[in-house]
Amino acid sequence: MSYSPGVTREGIDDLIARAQDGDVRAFEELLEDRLAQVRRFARAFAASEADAEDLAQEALVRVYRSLRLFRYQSAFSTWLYAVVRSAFLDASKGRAGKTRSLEEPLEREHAAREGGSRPDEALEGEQDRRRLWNALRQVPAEFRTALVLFDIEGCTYDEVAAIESVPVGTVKSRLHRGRSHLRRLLDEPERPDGPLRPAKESGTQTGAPPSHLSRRP
Amino acid sequence: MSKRGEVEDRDLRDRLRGLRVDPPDGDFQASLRRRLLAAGPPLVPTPWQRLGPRLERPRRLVWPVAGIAAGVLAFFALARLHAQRVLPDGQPPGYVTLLPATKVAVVRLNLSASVAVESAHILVTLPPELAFWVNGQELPQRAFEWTQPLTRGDNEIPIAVRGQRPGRYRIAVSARIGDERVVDEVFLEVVGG
Repeated sequence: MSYSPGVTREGIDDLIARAQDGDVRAFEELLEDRLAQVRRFARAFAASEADAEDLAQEALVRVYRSLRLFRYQSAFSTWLYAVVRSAFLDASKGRAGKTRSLEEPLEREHAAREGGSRPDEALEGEQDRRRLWNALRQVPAEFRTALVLFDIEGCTYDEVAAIESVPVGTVKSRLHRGRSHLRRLLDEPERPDGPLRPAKESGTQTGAPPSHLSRRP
Repeated sequence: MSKRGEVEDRDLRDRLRGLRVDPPDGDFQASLRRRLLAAGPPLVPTPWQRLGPRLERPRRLVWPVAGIAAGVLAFFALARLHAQRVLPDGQPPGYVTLLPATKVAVVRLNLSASVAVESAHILVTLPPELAFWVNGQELPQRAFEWTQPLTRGDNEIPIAVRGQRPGRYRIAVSARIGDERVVDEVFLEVVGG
């Protein structure tokens, strides 16, 4: 969770100080390396892509508004994730049930990023990711946070522990339980009326690949 | 974890790592900028928020301290309730025992001695509204005195009494050992029914 080598500690501190004074551009610069991670993190707490973008922006606005509470006692990224996580948890409590019906497939662009792969492979990858995101959203929030930060984003145990304000042992336990929970969810057959249902209305399928695309042996 | 479990775990972690795909920007940054500008500058922390980090440790102690305080309060509340509870087979001196009128209660007086005493003179005095009860019969006298040895530690003296009418009454107990005299009292509350 460190910044790119070009940005020095003093540089970050300067950006933080400017952002704390209301410099939006400095804040954007500060976030530059974090945007994709925050947006992915938001996807684990939102039921739809559109909702995820909104949620991520809402959380980042909260980070900006709370910026003067940052006192350099931890890495900025740790503090950022802690605030974002708190915003997601608050929002998911408020939005529970409201957004489940809005589930959408992954955007086509994601499949297009599978550089050089065949269309059928790209589609399978997209389906797998979509299924995984959907299952992840059903994992209890405290386990979900650990899974996203550790398994997806590659944070260390210590970093996750600092973000969640829990001991490292708790993080390990949450990861173990979260993975077991996730595996159980993924083992369940997809139900047409369940949260892992195929989004036929959107033009993508989550079940078997279309007949014209056969799985390679 | 079994071999199979490890493989499954590794496979799941690989799949999760595969989710680390950067989402397309679209108009995310432009939209975020609009929201940031609309939100206004960072808020000035309130005095409470300024104290936040310094209060972090005390705040962590709030629940344990509250738990201990609740425990202590519960102990005192229970002790009080215990003192007021109906205990037909008696109570140590100083407690209030509830006794339904016309029922017999055994009140256990406890004389605690720091050394064994060969001969102690004991006097128990009842108010007119209470009576001693022996072998299924009410005794007319309201005071009883006798001499007995006391062992070191607690010496329990059970006396059976019966209340005539509702009210709170005091049973006086005195023990005389040589020139030394110890006086104690037990309250008995006779209630209707």
